[in-house]
Amino acid sequence: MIKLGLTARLSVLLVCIGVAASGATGYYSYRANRAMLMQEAERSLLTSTQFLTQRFTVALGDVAADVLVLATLPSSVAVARGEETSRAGRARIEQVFLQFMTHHPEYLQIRLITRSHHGLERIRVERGAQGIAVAGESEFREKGQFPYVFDTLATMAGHVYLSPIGLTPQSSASAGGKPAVTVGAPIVDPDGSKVGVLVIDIDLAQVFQRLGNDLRSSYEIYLANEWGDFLIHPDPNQTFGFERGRRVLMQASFPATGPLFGGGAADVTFNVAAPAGRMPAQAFAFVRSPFGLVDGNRFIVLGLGRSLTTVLASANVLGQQIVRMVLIWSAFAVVLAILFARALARPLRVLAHAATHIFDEAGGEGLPVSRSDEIGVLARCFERMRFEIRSQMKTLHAKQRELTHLAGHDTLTGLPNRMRFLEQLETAIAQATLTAERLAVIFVDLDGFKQINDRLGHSAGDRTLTIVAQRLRAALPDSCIVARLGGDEFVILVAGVRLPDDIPNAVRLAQAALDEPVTLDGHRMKVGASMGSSEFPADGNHAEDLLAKADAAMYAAKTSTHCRHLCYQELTAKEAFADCSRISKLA
Amino acid sequence: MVVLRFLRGWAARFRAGKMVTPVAVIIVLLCFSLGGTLADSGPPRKAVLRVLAWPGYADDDWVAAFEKRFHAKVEVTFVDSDEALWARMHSAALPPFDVLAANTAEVQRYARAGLLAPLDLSLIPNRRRQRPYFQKLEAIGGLMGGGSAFAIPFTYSSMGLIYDRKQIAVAPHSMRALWDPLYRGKVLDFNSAQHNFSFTALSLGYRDPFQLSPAQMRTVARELVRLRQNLLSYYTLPEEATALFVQHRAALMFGNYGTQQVALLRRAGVDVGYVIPDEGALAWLDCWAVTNGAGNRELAHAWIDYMLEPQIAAQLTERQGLANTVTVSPGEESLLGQRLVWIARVESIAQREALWQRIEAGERLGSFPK
Repeated sequence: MIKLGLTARLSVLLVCIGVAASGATGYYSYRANRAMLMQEAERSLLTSTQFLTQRFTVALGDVAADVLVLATLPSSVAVARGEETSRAGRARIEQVFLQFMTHHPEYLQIRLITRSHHGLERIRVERGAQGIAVAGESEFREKGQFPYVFDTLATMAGHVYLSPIGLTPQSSASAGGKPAVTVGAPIVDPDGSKVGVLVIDIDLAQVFQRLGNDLRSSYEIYLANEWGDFLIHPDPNQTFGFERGRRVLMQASFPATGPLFGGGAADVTFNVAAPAGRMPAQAFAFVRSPFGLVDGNRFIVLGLGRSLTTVLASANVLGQQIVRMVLIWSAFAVVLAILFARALARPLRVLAHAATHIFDEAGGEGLPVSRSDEIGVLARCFERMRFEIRSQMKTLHAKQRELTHLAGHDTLTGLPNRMRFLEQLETAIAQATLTAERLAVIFVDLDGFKQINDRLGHSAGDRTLTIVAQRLRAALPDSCIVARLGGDEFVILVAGVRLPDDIPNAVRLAQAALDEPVTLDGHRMKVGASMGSSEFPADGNHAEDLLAKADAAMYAAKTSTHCRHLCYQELTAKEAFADCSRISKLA
Repeated sequence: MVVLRFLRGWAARFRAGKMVTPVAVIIVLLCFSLGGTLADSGPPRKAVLRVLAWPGYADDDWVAAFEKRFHAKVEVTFVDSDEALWARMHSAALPPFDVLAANTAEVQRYARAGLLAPLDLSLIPNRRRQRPYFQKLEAIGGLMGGGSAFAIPFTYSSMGLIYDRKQIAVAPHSMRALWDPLYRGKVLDFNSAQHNFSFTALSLGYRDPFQLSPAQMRTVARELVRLRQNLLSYYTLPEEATALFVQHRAALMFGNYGTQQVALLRRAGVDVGYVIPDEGALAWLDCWAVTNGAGNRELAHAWIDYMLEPQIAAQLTERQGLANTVTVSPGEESLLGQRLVWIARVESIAQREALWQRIEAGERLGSFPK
């Protein structure tokens, strides 16, 4: 797993927040817009349905007015009575009926039926396949057994009877099987007795087609009777199920319409999802309205359905725009998030850099100390802290240097001590090994130091040692190292010996420096020294070895009365005296 | 990058408007696969009995009790007309049902078509509980064929005469009362071709009301026109008849739905009487039969036997208002033998229908020749 930096993580987080926020906003605005559009569609559909219902009621009222007008024609009474003298009147009425049929394409037939002769038809003008026809005498039938005859006869004069919505008989001249309703009015003679009825059969499909003309063609019309049986349905197989012994009920097909039949709300709107997918495919509005002028208990339920595809198309267009906006905003959010994350992380990085390079002089450069926000506070605190640490560290370093110096030097003379000398000697040996040079160690032991100490005290002794150290340091070239081993013992390292005389020269210079009397509190005191030397590589390869051999040579020189300096090689050759004298002579 | 790709995919789905569909599909598939495995891992399959019956003949509680007792699964298909029954029986080469309920006329038709299996009466011990009349299968037309029984009576209903006791003090003795001008405009008749011709023929004293000669047919047609002229109206549904009877104070009615209609009218507060005319009343007798496509004939016989149990009989009468063949109602036994005429196939449905359409539409008497 890749470890992401703070900038990357912050960027990802901010991008996620930005994208999620714009996505969620987009999605919910899409949903809200869609719901609003659907609600609006349902509301407008409900208005259309209510309007259609009203127009249907008005249309039925118009038919009722026609029926009443025809029933009250004087000739109608005469024909209904079956008066022989009414031939001319009969022809006139037939003409009137024909006119009405012509002007009302939804009228299936207009009939004048007499009360006598078992409700025999007297005039029948019907719409057939060949157009409007007037039925001949031989085609008249007895209709007394039909409710539209006996119920109309029971209706008060000036009122109309409205039959339940049924199917036109299959055998009639028209195509048959259409939803139809019969409107009837009694024909009353001057005496007030009802002598017949005038009935008009109306094709409801035609009525609704006419009423629905200004509706969009995509609207579907539904009509059900008070029990919920479909009378009009886009699928004709669903209508008049009870005629075939198989009821198809609106409240079963559209459960939401249940309250309309249970005496609940007078209208409902809802939408139904398409079988596939979850998009609501259709919106519906159903309105219950009273039906029938005879008694007030009957009602019909009229409904409109429309596809929501067109409605939702605009929602989808908006949805696409929202998607585009979301994408743009997401891209914007990505850029912003990266910029913001970097802006936030930069001072942190500067601080981190400063912390890493806390001891560099330039480490504190670029710290945002001038900022007034929390980062500025942090930077200032950090700068102060850095300053503190640096000063503390500086002190510490100085102390450490001093300690190191103290560890490697003699406090009295300031010369390297034994330990330091041995280190330097080792280094010099290593160096000489590489360059194939020689080097020498000269052990120096002061001769008159004890007397000075005894006579003039320790303070004078210390001063003597200091003077001796200064003299040795001054007399010898810089390439030589002078160290104090302790007490009155000094040692000299002569490095880079190339000439045979280099070592005797150094011995001579040292002796000359020490032979010079020292003035202490007005006393001129002679110091002098005995010396022994060893050489690398001739006398050994190790510092301790060389030192010990030089010491041994010095000791031999001190105990000898002849000479004040001895080489270790001379000591081993047992020719001490001769050499000693030679050296002494040289000195 | 990942975020962008996710966004692009989301946007595409969003645009297509099917964002949830893939999820739904996956869930559905999961359900199916789970369902499949569950079904496969279930116990061995139960025996299945396929019942073809009329509404009210196989109520859910009866079916549940049968399934429990015989460890079987019962699939009931309801039909609401003889035509639907015939269509269902012919929907496959072998009838896709084990048992069916049909009236005597239909049983005869199916038996002749070779769609029924002869019954093993020993597998139906509950027949002993039936009233004696229904045990004598050979006496009831259409149930036997070639020496074997094809159907067992289950329920029946007569089509008698309903009259308003307030308006008619003495019970009528014949269907001829429907023609009585005294009750003009107060008579109700059922709107159907076959039964109208048959009961008119019975009332005219014809020997076989189901097989009319041309002359008889002409007479009956003219009689039916006369009957129409005496009517208030025709009805189709029992509720419709009750409404007409109450609203228009009818006096007489041909009771196509028999005692069911009487109960409806009495509930509506009409004091009605019900008579079986002296010339006899049409009646239908529904029987259970086993098809020749029955997979499990023993189970089919068990169903028929179960249908003859006393509590089923009692519940049938209580729930549907239909007479059963088990409970004894005193005085009705003689009536069964002599005065109920089980409906049978008629000579020509088409002819009766054609004539009936003209009669019902109101064609005058003159257009029907003597």
